[in-house]
Amino acid sequence: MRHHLIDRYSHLESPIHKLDPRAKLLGIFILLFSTVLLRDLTSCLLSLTISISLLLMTRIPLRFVFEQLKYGLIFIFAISITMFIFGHEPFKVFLRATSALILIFVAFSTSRFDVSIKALNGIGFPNILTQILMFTYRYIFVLAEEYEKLSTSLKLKNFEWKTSKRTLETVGKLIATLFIRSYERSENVYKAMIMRGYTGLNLMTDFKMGKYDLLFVATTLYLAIALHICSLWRFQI
Amino acid sequence: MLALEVSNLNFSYEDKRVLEDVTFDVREGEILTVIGPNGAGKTTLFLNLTGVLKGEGVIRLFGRSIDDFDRRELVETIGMVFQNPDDQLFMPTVFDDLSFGLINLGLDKDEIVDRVNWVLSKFRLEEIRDQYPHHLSFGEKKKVAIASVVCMKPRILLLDEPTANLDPISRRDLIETILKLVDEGMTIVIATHDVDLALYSNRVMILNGRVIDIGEPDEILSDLDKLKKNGLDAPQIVKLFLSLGLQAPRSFDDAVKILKRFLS
Repeated sequence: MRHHLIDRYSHLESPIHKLDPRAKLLGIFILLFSTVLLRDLTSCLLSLTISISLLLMTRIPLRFVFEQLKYGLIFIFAISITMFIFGHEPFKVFLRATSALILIFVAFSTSRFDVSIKALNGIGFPNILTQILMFTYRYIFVLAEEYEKLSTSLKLKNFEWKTSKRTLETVGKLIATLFIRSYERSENVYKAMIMRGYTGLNLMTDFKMGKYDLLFVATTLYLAIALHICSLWRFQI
Repeated sequence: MLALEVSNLNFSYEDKRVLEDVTFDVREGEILTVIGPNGAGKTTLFLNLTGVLKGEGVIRLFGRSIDDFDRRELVETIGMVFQNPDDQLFMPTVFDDLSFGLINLGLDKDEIVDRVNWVLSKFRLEEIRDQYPHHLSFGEKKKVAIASVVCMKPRILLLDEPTANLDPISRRDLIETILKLVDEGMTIVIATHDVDLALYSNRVMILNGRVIDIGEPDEILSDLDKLKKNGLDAPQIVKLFLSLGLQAPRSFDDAVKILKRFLS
């Protein structure tokens, strides 16, 4: 089965890929928080420029980037149009959300996803949320495979997807089956964890923060502050 | 020395009695194969032996009651591998999964890395060390699931349907690995429908809610009526020997000896 993975190009060798994953996440989160709090159009445009520059630095093929971001961009576009219809300012929202989306993509596409999870844990992300994220990532593919098997089984029984009551009933039963299987699996996984001495998640990592990583965090911090100074200045004008 | 003693174990899921007066023992360093039809209580028995489920009765590991073990001692004494490896492999990579139990044991980083490398080489898994479990074949997942328990070096290993859904080569590899573990002193209890696998064990037990019979493989596997009554069938090789009027073999090596004698 083919899985659509955000970290398909995590093996590339770009300046962003070379960063310590913790420094990368920390720096990008600083930019992210700064971006969503911007208030004027110029600083939002500057933020988008920074995000796109970071994206280009990753050397990830743009076609893949577009494939991964298209649904997010469509959603942002739809929200902006809705805001415009109701008389709100849509451009700043569009720019901020697009910047944020690109930054998140840069953060998670340039390291293997398991490494990103460990890095999140390393920068103080709550342990329980790390575990939820980790299990979600592990089992989403198992669930997808089970869905595919059930779907194939329906096809082999000559089931056709139509806009009918029967289709709705069948989809309901399919979801119920997936839910029951997931519940049973979660019970077994918990038993397996207990049998291996689980008392709380501890992850083993070998991250090393160097000068280059600290420089990256310092630069993102400087840019985040600069964007807000620019925003305040433009706002006062 | 007895590795495992079970006396009058009873277990029910709400109103349904699954295990009834189950009594048996396993000697240190032997392989006991538990065979029985679907719903015979094999997995429930294993979950009781690991302390995950708590039934009525007495379970002793190396002479000590299971109730006297703390969780850490218990996981170092007895480990279980599930039938479905997706239930067992819950960490993002093979390395993370193998190190999971070792981190919980509180081992230092160097020892964890050494143990993981040891088990990777033992199961010939070095090449998939950093892979995601969802990228592995079923056979590889099964191997990793067993390796994840073996690396904790439990003295008793419980294997639930270890050969289910494996291709012939993977099945053969797995059997070789089990035999090597026994050579190294591990005690192994296997629950299976694969009656051929029973020929590799020292003793066989028929479980169908309660213990129907326990004994040497040739003794248990040649009683075709008893097997049939309990929803089981004898291995093909045993049926062949019985239809030739020969005694049932205890193992494959024994079968070769009997056949050579017969032909000469």
